[in-house]
Amino acid sequence: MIFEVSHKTLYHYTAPVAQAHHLVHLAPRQHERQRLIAHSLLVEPEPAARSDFTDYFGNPASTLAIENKHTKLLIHSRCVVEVTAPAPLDLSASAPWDTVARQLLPARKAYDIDVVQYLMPSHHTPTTPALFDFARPFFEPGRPILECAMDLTTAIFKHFAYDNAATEIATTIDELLKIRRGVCQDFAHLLIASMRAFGLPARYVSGYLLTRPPLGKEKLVGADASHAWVSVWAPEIGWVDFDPTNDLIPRDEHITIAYGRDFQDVSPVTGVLLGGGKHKIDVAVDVVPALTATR
Amino acid sequence: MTTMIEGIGTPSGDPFADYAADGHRFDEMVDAKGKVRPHWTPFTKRFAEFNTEEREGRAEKLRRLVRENGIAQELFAEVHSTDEPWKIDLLPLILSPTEWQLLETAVVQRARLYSTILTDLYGGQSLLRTGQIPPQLLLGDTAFLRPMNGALEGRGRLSFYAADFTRDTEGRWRILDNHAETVAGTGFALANRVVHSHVSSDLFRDANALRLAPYFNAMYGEMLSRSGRDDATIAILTPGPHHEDYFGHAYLARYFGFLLVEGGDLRVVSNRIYMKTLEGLRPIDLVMRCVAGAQSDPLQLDPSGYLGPAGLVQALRTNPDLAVNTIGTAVLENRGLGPYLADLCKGALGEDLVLPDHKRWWLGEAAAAQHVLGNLESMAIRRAQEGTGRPGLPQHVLIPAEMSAAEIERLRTEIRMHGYCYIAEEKSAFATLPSWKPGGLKAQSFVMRLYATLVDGEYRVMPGGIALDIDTENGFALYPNGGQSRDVWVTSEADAAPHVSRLRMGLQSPKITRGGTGLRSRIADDLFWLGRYAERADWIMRLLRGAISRLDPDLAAFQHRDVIIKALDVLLSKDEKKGLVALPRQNAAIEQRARMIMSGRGRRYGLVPTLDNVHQVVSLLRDRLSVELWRTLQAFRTSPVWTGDAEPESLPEALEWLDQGITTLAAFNGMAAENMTRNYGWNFMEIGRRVERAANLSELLGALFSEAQGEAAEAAGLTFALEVADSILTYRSRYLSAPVLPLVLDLLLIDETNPRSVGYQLQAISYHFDALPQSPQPAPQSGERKLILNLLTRVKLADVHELAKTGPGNQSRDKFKMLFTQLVADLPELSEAITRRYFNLTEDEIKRIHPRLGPRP
Repeated sequence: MIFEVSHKTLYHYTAPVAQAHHLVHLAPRQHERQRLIAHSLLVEPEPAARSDFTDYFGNPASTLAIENKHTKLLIHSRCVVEVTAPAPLDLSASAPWDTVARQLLPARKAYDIDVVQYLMPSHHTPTTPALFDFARPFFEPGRPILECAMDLTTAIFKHFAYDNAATEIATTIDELLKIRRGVCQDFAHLLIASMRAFGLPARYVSGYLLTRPPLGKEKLVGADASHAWVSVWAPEIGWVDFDPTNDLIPRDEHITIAYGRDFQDVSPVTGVLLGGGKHKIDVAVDVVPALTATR
Repeated sequence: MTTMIEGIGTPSGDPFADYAADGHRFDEMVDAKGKVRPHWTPFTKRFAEFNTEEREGRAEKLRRLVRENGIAQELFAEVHSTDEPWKIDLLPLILSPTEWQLLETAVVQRARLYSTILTDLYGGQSLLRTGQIPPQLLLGDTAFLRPMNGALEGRGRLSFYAADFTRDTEGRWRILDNHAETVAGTGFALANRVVHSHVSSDLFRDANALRLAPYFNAMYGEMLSRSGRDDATIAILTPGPHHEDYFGHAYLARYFGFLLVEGGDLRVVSNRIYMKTLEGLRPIDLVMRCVAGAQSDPLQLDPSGYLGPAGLVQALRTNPDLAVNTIGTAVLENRGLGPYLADLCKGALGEDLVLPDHKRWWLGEAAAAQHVLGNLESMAIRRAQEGTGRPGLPQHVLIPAEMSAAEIERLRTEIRMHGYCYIAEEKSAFATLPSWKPGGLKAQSFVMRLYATLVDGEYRVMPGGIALDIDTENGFALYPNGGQSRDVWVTSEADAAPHVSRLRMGLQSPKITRGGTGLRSRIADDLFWLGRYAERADWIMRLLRGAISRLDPDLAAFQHRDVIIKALDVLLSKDEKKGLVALPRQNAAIEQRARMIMSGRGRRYGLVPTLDNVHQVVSLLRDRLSVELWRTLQAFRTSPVWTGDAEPESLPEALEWLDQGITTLAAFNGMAAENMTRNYGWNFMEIGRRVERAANLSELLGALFSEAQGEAAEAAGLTFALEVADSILTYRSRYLSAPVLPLVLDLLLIDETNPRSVGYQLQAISYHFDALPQSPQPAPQSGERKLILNLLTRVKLADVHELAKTGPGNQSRDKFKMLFTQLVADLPELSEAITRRYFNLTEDEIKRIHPRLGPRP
């Protein structure tokens, strides 16, 4: 499927910002099921310096430096992407999780760094006793690794309520386990932390999701949002995505922007300002299938 | 028989003869038979000739020098403690040339090895891919800073490296800890040597020990050549005065003539580093990084770390040479690397490892963890990565043998969950050296830190270092609190090289620059407050001296003590006055107030808190003030009276102290006037001093003379005011009469030739204002300028006879009251306006925006 995505971030500041440095992860990365057809990034006011680079995890990223005083900042990313659905997968045919964990134990042998780097707990995905207790029931000895991941995905969907007001960036995994409410990135972090606590690699996926309006209603412009889900690694199969917010394995309606250890590595827009007083952010995301995008 | 008599007959004054090293452990000074090792003998011979007085005298002088130089681990920790925060042993650690050769080779090899690992880790990572270093070890280390990957290609250089050595009981050196993040206490090593050589230059010469100057010269040259300019602006980036190494940073900055900056002083613009000054941005050519790498760019690294400027990583990706060490080097300090070093050295350098790390297990490896969990009672558990500072502090070490069963169970769980974050080490014993203690020498375990710097592509080792006591009682090397440090002497068989001063370096192409060298707002702020606090201290002391001297029984004829009480009350707050006990005798009332003002803490106008404030700002300004200025003010830290830990026993003693204090401040002011460059910093210090003096004098005059008194009482008050304002001689030389208000007002309020008058202060403030840069916000009639103009006009136009008049039928001087009320109100406002304009720019507030993912549709 081909999508057109528009992602606008607009900052309003109550006092002038003297200098701003921003780091953005907005250009979708390519992978075997995703082809980037076009991407553009518009920034107003015009940055004095913009540097596009590939980050440690292979994601396209940019730093933007704005040296002029400003009270408003617009970062508008637009892209056209083609996504292909994965081939059908038999989760029960994946390797037992404990075998995988054993293979990845530290030793003096060759490793696939791209897998091992997603093995260790990170800032948002620490292993805590509470997390360990939460995850333990999903790791019966010998259970296929992808079934463990699917069980966790379903359990998080069932037992955690989506609540936009319950958590913030600083909410810890222990707090999340207590309140059992949160947003997509919280659920992604919980699934990742659970896999890593048992010695299994899992990575954070930042992206977009095509949403459908309720039956009979027109889709609202700007109502879509950034989304986050998880990728779990299985030997001989590779990385398989799981979306705990929606209890599914993504097919061709999830558009990948970036992979990281957690949100902190790949947050779409983040910045450091001098001045600015208080600020307000408006974010508008539109994901439109290209066939209907004929406006 | 004769031998025995010789043994007994050893002169009891020879401390080395009595030194009892534990015969089972290696000792630095004596061999297994108790015989002094040859490279120590020149030292011990000379030292043994000293009599007890000489030895104690030198030890005492050493303590005094440490205090005077302000060598401290935590600058603010010592304000009210009289114990010594930093101690230097009278005895150095002396190394023989052969021993040194081994250590030097080991340090150089380590630095080369770590440099290779660093390049690989932040580049192709082949060491991780092949498992020569288990990737879990370093990829799980928060000190591995991914955004720096690819930035070090072909130039991943470790500039500064230091190693902590211990010796086992057999005399084998082992490396306990590696320091790859910053210069790690180089400033302390240098300060120790400077101070120690003051008391032991003769011993140093006898030992034919190597000097440090060539090493620091090379380091300086390397920094210049890194910056690519002869007239480079080089800055030491420090976390600030609350960091335990701040003394060292400030010391190095002054030694090299580098700037000392904090993260908030810096900006990155177009991938270059700038320092923000009152006149605008000024480029920095090289940053000597003394802050944790992970905290040095809130944009791409730890989002809560503000020790460096946003954008630094991006700037370093463009030019990695902008900072030394570059960012990301702390990962090399991971103790879990220890077990892999020998193979890495063989593989990467093709060499055998000269000296290994202290024996350790990395608990990320299953077999190692199993071994350790099975032998917990003989182990200590430490974090693999501890960050910079002083690792090995006891609170960071877990000793299962000293833990409860429940704690051990928690530890087991923790190791199972996070084993890769920990290392374990087995109980062992350590070598000793003699430590100078009152009454003789004591055998003491130690750790020795040696330093290396990359110079022209080769590592150079400092021929010296620093040794610290360690506590080894429970079999592990722990840093005790309040331990001793000592200088490390490297003896040489060659003739001593001629002494080369570092100051000659860099003078090959002198370039003349004058004045405005770019004053940072923060420094301007500190200088302004130094001016204020020093003046306030002077004022309080003069007032107290005036008051207490009137209690002298010889002055029993002095009648008008209520004036003195009124003057002292100016310095007390409402609450404090409420807290006073009503005393029938005026003498007692004065003494009560004087004691309160002198010793009280937490009072705005208490003498002790004011001196504390002086000390605080002076500490912040260390690198900007000359050693003499610093030392002068240190006088206030060396007596318990000034720090509030003791009160003067009698009034005459209090007077003595006050006289001394006033003299000290006069020395400080004189030296500042003679020696400080007339730049913006000077302007700010002067403005601070003048604002404070004008405000204090106005407050006193307003309090004493707003209401007219009887003639004699008023004369007594006027004499007192003239005395406190140090203008009594001028008055007497001008007027032969007893003081009367109009004449005194002319002298203390209006006369612009009297450096103590309010008018003079205002004129001076106006002058210094005009000298300041108009940026950052050009506004011709800005608040503070209007304020000062207004005050000046009022004072100039004041009619002293009118002011002195009382209202019809009452004692109230309304015009006088109005003028002084305004002065007392406007002067603090002036101070605030200055602060707002120059020091407190709202646009300097750093903020991070980090929106969360948006709501679900």
